[in-house]
Amino acid sequence: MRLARLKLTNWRNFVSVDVSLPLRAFLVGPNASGKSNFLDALRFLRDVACAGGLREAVRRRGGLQRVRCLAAARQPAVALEAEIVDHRTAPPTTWSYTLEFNRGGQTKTVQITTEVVRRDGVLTMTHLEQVAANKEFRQVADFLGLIKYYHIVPQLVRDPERYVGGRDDPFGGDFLERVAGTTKKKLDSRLRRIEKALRVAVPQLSELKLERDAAGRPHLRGKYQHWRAQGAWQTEHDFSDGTLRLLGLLWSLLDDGGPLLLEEPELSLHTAVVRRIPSMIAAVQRRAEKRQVIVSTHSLDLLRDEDISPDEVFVFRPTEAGTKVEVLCDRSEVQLLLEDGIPIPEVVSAITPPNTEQLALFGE
Amino acid sequence: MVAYVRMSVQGNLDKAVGQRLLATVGLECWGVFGLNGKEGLIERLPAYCRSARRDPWFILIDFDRDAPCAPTRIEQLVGTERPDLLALRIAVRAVESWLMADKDRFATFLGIKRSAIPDLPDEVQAPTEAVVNLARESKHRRIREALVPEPGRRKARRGPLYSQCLTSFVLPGTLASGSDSPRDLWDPEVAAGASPSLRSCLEALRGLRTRLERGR
Repeated sequence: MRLARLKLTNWRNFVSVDVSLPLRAFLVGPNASGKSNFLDALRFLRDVACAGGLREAVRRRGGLQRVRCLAAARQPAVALEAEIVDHRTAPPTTWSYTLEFNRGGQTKTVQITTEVVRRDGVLTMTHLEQVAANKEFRQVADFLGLIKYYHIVPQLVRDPERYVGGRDDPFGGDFLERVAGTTKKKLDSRLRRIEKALRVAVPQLSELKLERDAAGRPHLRGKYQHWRAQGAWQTEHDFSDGTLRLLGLLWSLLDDGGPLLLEEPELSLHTAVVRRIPSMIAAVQRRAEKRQVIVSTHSLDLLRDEDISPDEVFVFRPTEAGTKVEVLCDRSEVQLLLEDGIPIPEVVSAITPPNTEQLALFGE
Repeated sequence: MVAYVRMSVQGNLDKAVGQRLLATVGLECWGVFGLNGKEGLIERLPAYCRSARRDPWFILIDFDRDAPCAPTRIEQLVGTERPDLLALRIAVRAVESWLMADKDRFATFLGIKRSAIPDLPDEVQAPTEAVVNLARESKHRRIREALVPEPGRRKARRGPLYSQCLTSFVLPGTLASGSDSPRDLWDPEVAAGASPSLRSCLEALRGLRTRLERGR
């Protein structure tokens, strides 16, 4: 199954967007244009489906006024609609899940105004509670529940004491616990693959393993080769930010689960490594389950991979009426530039230029 | 009606100059391409030319201290049939020559004597070094610190805020003091009086505009 389309109405930066999603997508645009908020819409659906329902999902985000679009007139309802295609059936089945909510009732609390599940266009259910109870529709909720978001913060991996949240912290607070919770066979095979890939970026690193300390806390240990014949073992406390981020990225790509949302995977990484991210994603997508990956990025180096197709690049363009999302090749003038041989990163930087001249005044 | 022109330049100072030139002749910039050094720009010329068969382009290249064969190389890349909507301009050495050509305003901006600025800026062999040397004589510490490399750093050709500082002479709203009234800024029309290469660049852009208007 995979996400085929996402429609957002009055959600954060967006008054109204309708985006068809391919297997691999790169979201680009200026700072604060809504790339993360677009990913958050998917995380929101995940929270609604499997982490306490709508009210909890809204509460986690600081209330309705925080998720509603500022550019929207008055106080309209917020709506999210996800289209999911199941390729395991022949012909493929198209599911859609629509959720609309607003403040309402005497208590002025957040309430669902519309909730619909459609199968191949036919209305089938109107409440998630029923969806959850019904085995057949359960797979829609289960699929949304499998959405994973990764934005590893190295400091949190090194110092999990700071982390007080629940399981599956996208920022890496329980990253080592999650790695340690994998079955031995899977863990070994993943660590070997990660070790191999890491060695390219960090040539001194020759071995990687997971061990628990006396208190039972898991630690990653890496063997660094240097002038001493035996090398030296270091733990995640000594790993560089780049090593930890790359480790997190590689793990997330190998991990089981549904659609993977990656927030700026280029952070702390060397340019040459960043350029390989798109092909690493493509490589793991060759596997049977064809995991969908949606990446937000500011890195033109990442877009330099010449196998990225323009229909995988989504440009976020802020306007007074909310952010618009366009597929790079949707605008004919852009498509023509690409056909003339101007590469994607150059076109992207020409059409989404932040006005950086003013930054020159900083510090004066 | 305004015509939208794609522009390709090698760096930020050229971008600022290019934007002022387009504005001067009444053309609007649609997108800034390149910004990846001279080699990056030259490498991309064939693609820009293909696009210029359909859409207007303004490409500005500095020659700096390149061998005299560089123009030949560009001719080869662009081909003999130059697209109608391509305004490819080569600053004789660097756009700094064009800035120096507005002698009065540049002298005021740098805080130096007018007579220190060369009369024939197009003939200056190394305009960047020339501007840095002019800035050494500036009465403003801000200008000296921005444009002149720290003493002892023999490999540094220019100061750490060189492009940024000169950009504030070219584009309105980029000067920290906020006192950049348009009459203190670089005036391309005045500068064209002292720089034949700038004059021909403006003529080429006006020609592009005429062709665009006629094409409608």
